[in-house]
Amino acid sequence: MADININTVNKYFGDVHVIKDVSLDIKSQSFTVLVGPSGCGKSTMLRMIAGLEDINSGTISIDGQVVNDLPPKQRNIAMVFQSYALYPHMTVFDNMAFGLKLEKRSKDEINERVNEAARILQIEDYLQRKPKQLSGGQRQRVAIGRAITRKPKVFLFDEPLSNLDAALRVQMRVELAKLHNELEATMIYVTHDQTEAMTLADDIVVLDTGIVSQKGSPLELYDRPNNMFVGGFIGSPKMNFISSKILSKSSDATEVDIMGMSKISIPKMSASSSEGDSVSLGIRPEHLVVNGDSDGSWESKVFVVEKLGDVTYLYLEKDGEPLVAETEGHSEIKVGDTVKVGFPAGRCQLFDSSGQAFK
Amino acid sequence: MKSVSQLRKRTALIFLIPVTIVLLSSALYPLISTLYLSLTDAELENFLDPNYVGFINYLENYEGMWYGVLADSLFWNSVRNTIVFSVFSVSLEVILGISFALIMLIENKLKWFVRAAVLIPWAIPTIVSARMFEWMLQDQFGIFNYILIGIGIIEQGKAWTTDPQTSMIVIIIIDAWKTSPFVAILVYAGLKALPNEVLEAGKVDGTNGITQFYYIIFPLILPAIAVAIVFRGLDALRVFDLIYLINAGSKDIMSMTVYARREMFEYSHFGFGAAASTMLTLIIGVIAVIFIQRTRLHKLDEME
Repeated sequence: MADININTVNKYFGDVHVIKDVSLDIKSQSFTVLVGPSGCGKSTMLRMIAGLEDINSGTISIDGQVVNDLPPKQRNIAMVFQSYALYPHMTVFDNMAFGLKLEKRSKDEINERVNEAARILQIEDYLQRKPKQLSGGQRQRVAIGRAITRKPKVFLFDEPLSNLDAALRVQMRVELAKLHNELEATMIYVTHDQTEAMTLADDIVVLDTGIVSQKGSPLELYDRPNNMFVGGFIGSPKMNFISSKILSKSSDATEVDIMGMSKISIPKMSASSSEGDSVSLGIRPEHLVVNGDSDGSWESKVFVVEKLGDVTYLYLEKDGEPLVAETEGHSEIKVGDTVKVGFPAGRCQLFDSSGQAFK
Repeated sequence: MKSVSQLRKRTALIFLIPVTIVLLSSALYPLISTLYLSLTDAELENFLDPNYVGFINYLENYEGMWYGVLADSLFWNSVRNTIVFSVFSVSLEVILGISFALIMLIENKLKWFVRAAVLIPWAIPTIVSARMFEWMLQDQFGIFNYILIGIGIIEQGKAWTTDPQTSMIVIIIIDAWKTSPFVAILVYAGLKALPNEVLEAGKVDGTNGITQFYYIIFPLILPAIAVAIVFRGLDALRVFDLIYLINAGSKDIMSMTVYARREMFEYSHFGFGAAASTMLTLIIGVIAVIFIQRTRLHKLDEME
């Protein structure tokens, strides 16, 4: 068991405040993904948990023990780096055995653990090779194997798949998910790729410029983003944002207009809002109803059509507001056609002018 | 119409002409003419028209006695001196060079001062360092003797540079002082190029300062160290200036180059001196080939 508790942690690089009062509780054996754009502090967060960066204030504890001043090796963690960071002069076997060798384990135990990890990762055939003789995917397996052999309580992954090609990334993603089930260890995973976050995570932590923007299960974040940043970050293609105005408020819904074309009553509320306020209406491309009736609708010319086979994306525009709508794969719609898009009220999000979501 | 690859080849050949001319005239010609000279009886009187005498400058049996460079005990003494000098000075330079490089890595406000201080001995001309050490080690007025007498280790000044027991040690120390910076720069570059994530992976795996150096840093900078050893080794085997400046006549420190120079320009035995020079070239060549084979330096690219 290894719960990780992060309590009002701050980190500065010189004058730059990169982690701002972050508090997080990570449950034992969960798979938590830290996600966010470059420079949001997610890697720094991971490196502070690993003990590779000092913490300026606050505490990090693993399994109830404050680890602020412990070196990495005493934290019972293992880390997988983006560049794999294999020891280039050692064979695959020695790479995986190195941590155990430093712990002065017996030869038999080292052999057993390395072979076990190699079996799990299917790299038994390359144990005597040097990292240079391996492909990117194989190197990544060795890097993961090096982490497994030490049987740590916590696995830390720093963008481990971002150097792999797309096909391999999907394959490794599935294997990581399987591995998490097999090892029953706590895993913290940093990525900027929201697909990896959605597919792997029990919990996603969205970081934005050093603060936790939202933490929750993938579907929670997808369905009920706390703010525009999370709404825009999770999901691909991105959520559409349309500027709008509050026409009226009732006890359980807020009525807004859609670009002056129609009105829609959305079952979301915000106590601080009032009639006439500017708001953003957010709706995902897959929720728009193309050429069908819905709670509110709007018509536009199609500027670009992207056919992906399983789905088609239509790029629409009105008064400088871009909008992407998803429709079926074999759609007959062509560039220049006018389409009617419907807005199902239950799928719409509202965000106030500071980006906070209506509940 | 010529194909692109033919044109490229022609361009390459044109660019190679200047360096080929320079190499032929500055390296190959002197080499061949020395080789030829070593097979003649050239001395000052007949330098322009020497007689071909075969290999007698190398080895000759005349009335039951052996003559020639290979039979001269002073030559073999100079070979021994050269090898002793090279082995010890290069070893010391590698140890000091790695230490200096590690010190240069430390990031603090003094780092520019430290880097400059490490490099200065390398920038000082050999004649200056030789005279400087000579004066410091001088038996009557040298500061080194003054300090040793002052703290009571010796009773009276010792002539460190001319004493047969210490002159070789002195020369090795001066050379190490002078050229460790060169090794330090090469190793420093190697250290700077170390991938940071690999060192961090080591920390996560549990390395401390010593195990990190022993298991990760040292093996990874080994290629840089091997390059430094080859450069310094070849330099040390050809050592001339320092030994000539400290004590040109002493057989205790005489190197192969000093021996060859003495035969040629002091005794005007050009043929004999050329034979000694040729032997010097051969010995260095053999050592270099063995070393490069052993360290697999020519396969560095595959090694990494």
